[in-house]
Amino acid sequence: MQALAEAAGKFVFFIGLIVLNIAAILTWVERKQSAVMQDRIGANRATIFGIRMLGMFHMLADMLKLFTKEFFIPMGARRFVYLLAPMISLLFALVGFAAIPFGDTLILGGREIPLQIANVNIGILYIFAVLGMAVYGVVLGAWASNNNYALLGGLRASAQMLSYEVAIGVSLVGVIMVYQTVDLMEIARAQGQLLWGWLPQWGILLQPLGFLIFMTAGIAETKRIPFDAPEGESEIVGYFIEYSGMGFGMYFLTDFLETILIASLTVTFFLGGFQVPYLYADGFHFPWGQAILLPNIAVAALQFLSFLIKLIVLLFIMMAIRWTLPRFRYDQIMHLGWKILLPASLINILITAVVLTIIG
Amino acid sequence: MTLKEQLIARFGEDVTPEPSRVGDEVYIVHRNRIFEVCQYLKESTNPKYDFLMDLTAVDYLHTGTKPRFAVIYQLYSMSTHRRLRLKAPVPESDPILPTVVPLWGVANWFEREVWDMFGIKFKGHPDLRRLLMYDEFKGHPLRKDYPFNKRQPLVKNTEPYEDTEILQYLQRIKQDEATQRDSGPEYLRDFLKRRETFEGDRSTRSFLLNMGPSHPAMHGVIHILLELDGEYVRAADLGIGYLHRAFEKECEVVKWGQVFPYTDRLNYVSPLINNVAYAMAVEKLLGIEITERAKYIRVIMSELSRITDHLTCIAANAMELGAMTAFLYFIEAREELYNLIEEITGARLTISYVRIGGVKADFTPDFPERCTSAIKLVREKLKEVHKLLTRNRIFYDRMVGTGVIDKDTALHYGFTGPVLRSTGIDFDVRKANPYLVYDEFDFDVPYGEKGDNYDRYLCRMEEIEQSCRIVEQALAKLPGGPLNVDHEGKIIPAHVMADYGKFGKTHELLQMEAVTDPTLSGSNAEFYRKIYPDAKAVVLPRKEVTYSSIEGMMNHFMLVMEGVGIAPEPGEAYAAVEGANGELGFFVVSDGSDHAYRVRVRPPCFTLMSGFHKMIEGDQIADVIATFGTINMIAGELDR
Repeated sequence: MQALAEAAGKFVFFIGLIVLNIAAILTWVERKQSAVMQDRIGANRATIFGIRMLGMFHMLADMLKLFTKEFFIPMGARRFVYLLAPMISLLFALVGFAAIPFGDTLILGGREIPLQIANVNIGILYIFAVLGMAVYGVVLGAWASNNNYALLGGLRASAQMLSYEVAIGVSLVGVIMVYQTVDLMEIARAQGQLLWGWLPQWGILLQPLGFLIFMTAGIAETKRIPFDAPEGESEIVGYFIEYSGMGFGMYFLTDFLETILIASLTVTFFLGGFQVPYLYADGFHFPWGQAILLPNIAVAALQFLSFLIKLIVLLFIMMAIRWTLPRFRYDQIMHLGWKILLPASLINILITAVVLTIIG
Repeated sequence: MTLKEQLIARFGEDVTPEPSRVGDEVYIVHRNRIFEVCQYLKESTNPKYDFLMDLTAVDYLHTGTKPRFAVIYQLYSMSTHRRLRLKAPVPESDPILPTVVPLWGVANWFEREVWDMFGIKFKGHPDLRRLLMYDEFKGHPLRKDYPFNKRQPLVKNTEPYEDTEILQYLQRIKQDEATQRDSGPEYLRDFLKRRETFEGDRSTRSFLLNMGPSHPAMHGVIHILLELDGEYVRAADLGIGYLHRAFEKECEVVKWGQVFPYTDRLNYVSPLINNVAYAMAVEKLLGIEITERAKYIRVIMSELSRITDHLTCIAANAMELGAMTAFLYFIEAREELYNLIEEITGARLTISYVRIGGVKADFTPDFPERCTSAIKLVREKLKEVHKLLTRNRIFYDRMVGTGVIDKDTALHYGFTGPVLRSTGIDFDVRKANPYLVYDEFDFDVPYGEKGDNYDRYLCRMEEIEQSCRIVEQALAKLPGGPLNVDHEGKIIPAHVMADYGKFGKTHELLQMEAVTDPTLSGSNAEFYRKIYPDAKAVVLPRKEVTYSSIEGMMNHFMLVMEGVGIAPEPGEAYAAVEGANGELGFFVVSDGSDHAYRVRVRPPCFTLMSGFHKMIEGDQIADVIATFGTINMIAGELDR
């Protein structure tokens, strides 16, 4: 019972308060950041009693609009699948966060609470499973729409997402080899150790190639520019062409959630997860011998903050990429996935294996 | 042998030269031999007239010329840059003549348009259906006996779909397909037949995709019917006319000078060039020469327009490929140019700036300064976009090798402008047939090699830079203009004149002319003197003349009243300029009245779109968007 309450509490805190809010803010960031990049002002029209808040209220306005719009089911659509598809999409974007450790252990009232919603010890496999399921929402929605454009979008999406899952999977083998575990919490903890006594063992230092491949494939997985062929708003409008109202809203939200999911995973695997350099369970221990002792709650807070900052920086970078590059063509995406990223990740495994063997 | 001798030696009485008042080379050809004459001109004469610039028709019902119609062929010689016009008279009783589609692919659409607008049939045309009007339209709107304000219901009268059962709906689709297989339009019949007897792998069938008219990249006005094999385009058919506003018909009911606002709405991204082209055609018909300063002003404004056009084209293209940021960088530069244009013309888009005989207003005093700074901004943005796109791997891969068209096909389909130049043909009207004062400037015409999207992109980028150079040179050379009125003691401000009158010094006033401005509130009439020629048949007299002399008053009255006004002698003239998309030609016919008898535009992107399917067949769907972007189709001038 207590465990359930604990899990529910973590769920509400992490997914309800953090992830969904970041997703909502991301819609605003996308507008404002792009505006800054493009010498524009950006969204600033929505006001509440004359308060603009830099256009933050556009999030609310969007939500209101999407909720009050008619949810239209086109003629010839498979009604049940059509209704189900966006929910599947949203569901699998959300459950992915369950395995992500956003802090180490919090001791509250004598209980040790791991800051991770579900402590699955096969975390990486769970993530693969969730990413693999994400494609269903897209494909089902596309095929159920009875629309040629949606069909094309669905075909592109399925091919693209499945191909890039291969690259994602193989690129993470290197991480598994280095840290010798598939438990995400353990991977995050392992990155707190130091190399040569001073360098934090972050994934990006041990697996630089793996990081690049994972990031690229991850962005492809989110179906955003430059990999937005399934959407391709100026070409085929997208797999969700027929969706309106909250049906579209769910797909829209899924996009942002997936971006956050990929960013969180990148942070967990490659950017030290929740680790702050030289911060241990009882406080800072610097390589030059100095130590600052901190209570557990402060350590947990710092770790969580570190996770959040890394996440936000990464999201900013992903947004900047999205607003800089043009879109790949469908066959070029396939080419990149199968002929460049996959061989590169295999080479990454080879190099990792050789280095590990030499070091012993 | 001159061309005339060659033609007469070969065809005898079937070809007769027609004298042209304005210096165009015109031949009247018997309609049954038009194909042979065209073939001879294309392949054997010296010089060869190997390029079909325009094909249209004129209905001579009201002039009394017999026979009623004439089909007009504007030919062009790529080697000598000479123009030739053929006229094939066609009687009303038997409106049919041989097609020239085997010689020039572009004739396909031109002849469809003539059939659509005049009801003249072309024997041997592969696919003679309506082009601009819809299939259910009755009559042929450009015939003189079709009233310009007649209305027709827009769609065929079928029962509306009842939104009840899905099954019913699907059944209807099947029925539709069955009926269309038997009696639908030819292209659809073809497709459905081909699909049934599809050779190769039996397990795959191609499918049809309607891209547009309601599609984000089709600008809302183009319908491309794609036959797709997965992602690959196997065949394409274009449907246009969704923005048809009867430009040519409207021009026939307004006065010569009132056509300008309509021309703004042809290529609305570079309206100044349209203005200039139309004014040049009418001035050619009138035989007037505009002042030197007005020529320079027209050149500067045309080039600014060309820059805005290319900026918009590249920006929109980048946006459609997903590079939204590059789009906004260019739009920012365009905004600055629009501000500049607004300051001079009073409007941003529908500028109506040029007048027959000059331009509406002179430059403001700070124009050169602002123009220089605007050009500086354009160059900055050009550099930024070069950095963002030109060497960008994704952009490069998307553009190189897609939408390829070779030289011969491009000429076959009458391509001009950047799209033709991207194939490696160095044809630019500004260089080939210099008009206004283009021969006084030092500028280059960039041309490509492969004729793909990337070459077109680079051509446009370079043309922006070249246009900047022209504007700079023109600004430096801008002449002061003929202030040919004698000031000394003869002209005084109107209010001073009134004061003199009050003091009874009337004997001095008899020799004097008053200076007023058009609004009678300031005194900037000098501007108007600089930019208008002294052609009383065309240009409104200066206000001080209008107000101070009976001759001026009468002159003004005659120009503005209905039934009189600018009225060129009967005649026909074709004038062309280099529009942003290619040769923009106006063919004007006058019957001596104050209304244009016929105004025909040769829109550059019409020919581009007629050959568009050649550029996308074999490419992927995503390339259709990229190619469509580099073509820079402007629906306003395409559909008119």
